[in-house]
Amino acid sequence: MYNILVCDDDKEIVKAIEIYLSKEGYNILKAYDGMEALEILKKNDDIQLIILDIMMPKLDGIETANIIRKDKSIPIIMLSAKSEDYDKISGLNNGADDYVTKPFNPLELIARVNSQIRRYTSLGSMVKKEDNNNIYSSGDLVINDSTKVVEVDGKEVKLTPTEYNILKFLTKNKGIVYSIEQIYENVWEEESYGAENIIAVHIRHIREKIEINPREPKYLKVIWGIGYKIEKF
Amino acid sequence: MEKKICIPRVLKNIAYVLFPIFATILVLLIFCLSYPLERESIKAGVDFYDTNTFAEDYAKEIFGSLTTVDVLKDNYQTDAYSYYYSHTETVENNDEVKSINYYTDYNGSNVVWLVLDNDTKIAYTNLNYSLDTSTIDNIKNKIMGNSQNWKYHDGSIQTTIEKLSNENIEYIDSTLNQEDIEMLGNTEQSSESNNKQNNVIDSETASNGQNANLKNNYTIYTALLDDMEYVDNIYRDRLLYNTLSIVNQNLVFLIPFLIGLIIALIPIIVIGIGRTRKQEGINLNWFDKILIEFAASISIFIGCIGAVFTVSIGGASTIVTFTLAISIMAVGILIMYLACILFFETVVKRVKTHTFIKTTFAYWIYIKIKGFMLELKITKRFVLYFIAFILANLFTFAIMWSDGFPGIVLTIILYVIAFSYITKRIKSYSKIEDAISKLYKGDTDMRLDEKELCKEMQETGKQINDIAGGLSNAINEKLKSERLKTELITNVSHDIKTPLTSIINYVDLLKKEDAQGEKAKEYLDILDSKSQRLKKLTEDLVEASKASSGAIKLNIERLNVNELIKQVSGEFEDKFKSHNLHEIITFPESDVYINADSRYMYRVLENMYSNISKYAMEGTRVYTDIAEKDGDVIIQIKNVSKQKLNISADELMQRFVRGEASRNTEGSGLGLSIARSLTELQQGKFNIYLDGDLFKVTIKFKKN
Repeated sequence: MYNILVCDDDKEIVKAIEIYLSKEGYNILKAYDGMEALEILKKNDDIQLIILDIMMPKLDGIETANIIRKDKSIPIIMLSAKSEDYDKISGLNNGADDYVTKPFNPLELIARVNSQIRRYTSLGSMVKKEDNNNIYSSGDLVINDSTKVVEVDGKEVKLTPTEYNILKFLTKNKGIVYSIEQIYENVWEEESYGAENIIAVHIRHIREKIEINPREPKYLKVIWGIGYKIEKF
Repeated sequence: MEKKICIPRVLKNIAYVLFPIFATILVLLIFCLSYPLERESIKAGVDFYDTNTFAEDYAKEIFGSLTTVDVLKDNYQTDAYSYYYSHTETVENNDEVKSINYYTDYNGSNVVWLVLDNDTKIAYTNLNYSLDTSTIDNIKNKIMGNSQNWKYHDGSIQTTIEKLSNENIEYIDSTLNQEDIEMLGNTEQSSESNNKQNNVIDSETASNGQNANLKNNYTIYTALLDDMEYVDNIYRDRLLYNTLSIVNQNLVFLIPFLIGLIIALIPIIVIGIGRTRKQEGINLNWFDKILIEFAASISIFIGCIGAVFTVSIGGASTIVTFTLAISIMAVGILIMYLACILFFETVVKRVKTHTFIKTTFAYWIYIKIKGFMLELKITKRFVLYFIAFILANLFTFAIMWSDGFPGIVLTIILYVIAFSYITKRIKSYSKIEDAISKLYKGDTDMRLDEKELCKEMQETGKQINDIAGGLSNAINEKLKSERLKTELITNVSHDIKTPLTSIINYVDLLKKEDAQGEKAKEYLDILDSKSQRLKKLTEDLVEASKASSGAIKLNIERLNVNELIKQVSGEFEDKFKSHNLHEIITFPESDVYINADSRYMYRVLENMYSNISKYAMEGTRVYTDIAEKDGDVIIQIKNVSKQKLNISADELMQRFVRGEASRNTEGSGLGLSIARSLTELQQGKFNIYLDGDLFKVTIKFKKN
């Protein structure tokens, strides 16, 4: 049973999050401003995740995250109505591990919570550095070429063979941007004849499978007008 | 109130009084110093009686006495002349002299004389007959009792006057002028011009017998009266000599002193001019404002009145008494002096207030011509300048014809002037042209330097600057208000999002509750879709306002349009399929590139594709063409609308307007507006064409 601290000045939102996460089997601790959150953290050592609103009375989310980060490495998910790039960057720079904008999709929030909890709790044992050349990974995306299994945050993802080949190629060459043509030529190993957008469709499908929010991908990034790449962590 | 006394003004008036006094003294001193009389003697401090001047004057008196004696001898009986009176007394003196002729000269002389004619035994004297002059001896004693005396007897001279002694007598002769010799002509038969030494007084020649009647026949006693009674030559010369001596020996130091004083007076006067008790600064009266030439004329006129007083009235001393003449002359000089002050003051005031040049007639003419020129339109003015140029050119050609070289020089100078005049205007014109061109291209911060323009175009330059300033203000105001609007919308959207989060979440939770009727499920679906739409609307609203106000940071890269379309098309493949839409893409033969921001370019295309998936008629084809034309890359997307499009393309692009009457479908209606704003932000062009049910979008970018 993992303990999650939810902190938001809107009691209804806290309540809704509690309902969703309780169903997932988490124990919820509630706070309604930054000071309260810090007090609960002081009393309770056994907390695995914090969900933190930014705009709160007394002590805002950014300040709170800063203070927590001074002595704790508990994952923090920022939850805010502020959706500008600037706000996200500022949140992540101030100790947040993830940033979810309001109004949020409950499923997305749950997925992100799960992901963070998995990463945090199995951090030591997770990285099974098998001395195997057949394993390619980027962050929490792991491709085992021997078993043809793809795992994201320790959870298996089912891919079609084409999707698997494309993902494997990009992960093998993570950080490098490949155009549709290059991907085609490398994966199909034959010359591209141009007019097909089949790769783009596959990429979209892969994103839907491995990403929590395909519109804001974490692993498989789209550089519009240039190509695709697997983010290097 | 304390009465302020204007010190400079009081000092100035004192200086005006002192100035002529000092000046007069100075002039007199300089006159005395430079007077040509006996300068060496004066410098050496010689006594007047030892000077040549005195000797000369005295000699003339001696000759004068002899002349008188001659006249008296000849006309004794006839008494033809009336200007003298002679009275003869018979004296019984010693044995020889029988009578004394007392001669009275009305002109008067300070030299008394006694001439004894040894032949006729008659004595002549210019002393009056009285008791103490009744005998020859008395007369002799009286004459010789004076300190300066001269005696001639028997060919020898006895005298106290050194220069007229026997030894120096040649000097006297050499200083006598021709007139004096001629005066003696009737007594001297043989007078050669060069032989003046043979005159009466010369003892040696006198004994030659050339001058028989004077030779030994006269005994002459003369003397200067110790207390001079008459204003004669000797008196005047002595007075002048003594005055000059005093000046030369005692008053020379006054000259630099006076010059210093006069120089010191000038700044006092100049500073004081124009100051008044009442006000600060320079007080100008009407006289200081009229033309300087006119003021000069008035001053000269007044000066002339003074001159008339001085010369005509004062000079005509015969009709008035001496005192009155002097008074009138003084008044005349005073008037002239005042006229000078009047003119000097107005000149100084004008210089002080920098109006001297402005009040000259030449400047007045210049201003009139300039005003006339400036009132003319530039075209007419140019015609005048051109005519002036032609005339000047003809003139210089004429000079060249007659004189050659100076004409060539003048012609070249004229052409250089004309050329610089034209060049200056062309430069100004080109500057204005540049400025307008910059302004037209949107550089509203540009400013013309008016001073660099020629006079005619300065006003235009100023107006252009004003226009630019107005434009840039307007643009800044607009940007500011857009930014404020964006900020407001962003803040409001934050406030909307929080309650919206609860709505969305609780609707979702409610849907998961089991105990619900069919109706409740339907209502929940409506709530769900509307809350989702509200969410999208808030997001789009912020984005639309940011895009239209330009509050977006672009990251421009070189993008492959073919790749981009393939990617986007791949993203929407599933959605199109679900709406039974078939996309046909036409690519150019080779890859084409544009400069744009990758993310925002996707947003533009995403909006287009999602519009198509929402509004295109199911079962139709969607055409996407990428073409290259005239250096531009054109992306054209065509589809057939599901519903009748009964509005214009422009209206369609307005925010919140959609091509359908009902608003049941998803979307905010901001998609096209956002797409256009983002395209334009990236220097692209976004256009919509409606032709029946055909909906066509073209996005145009410069090819890289």
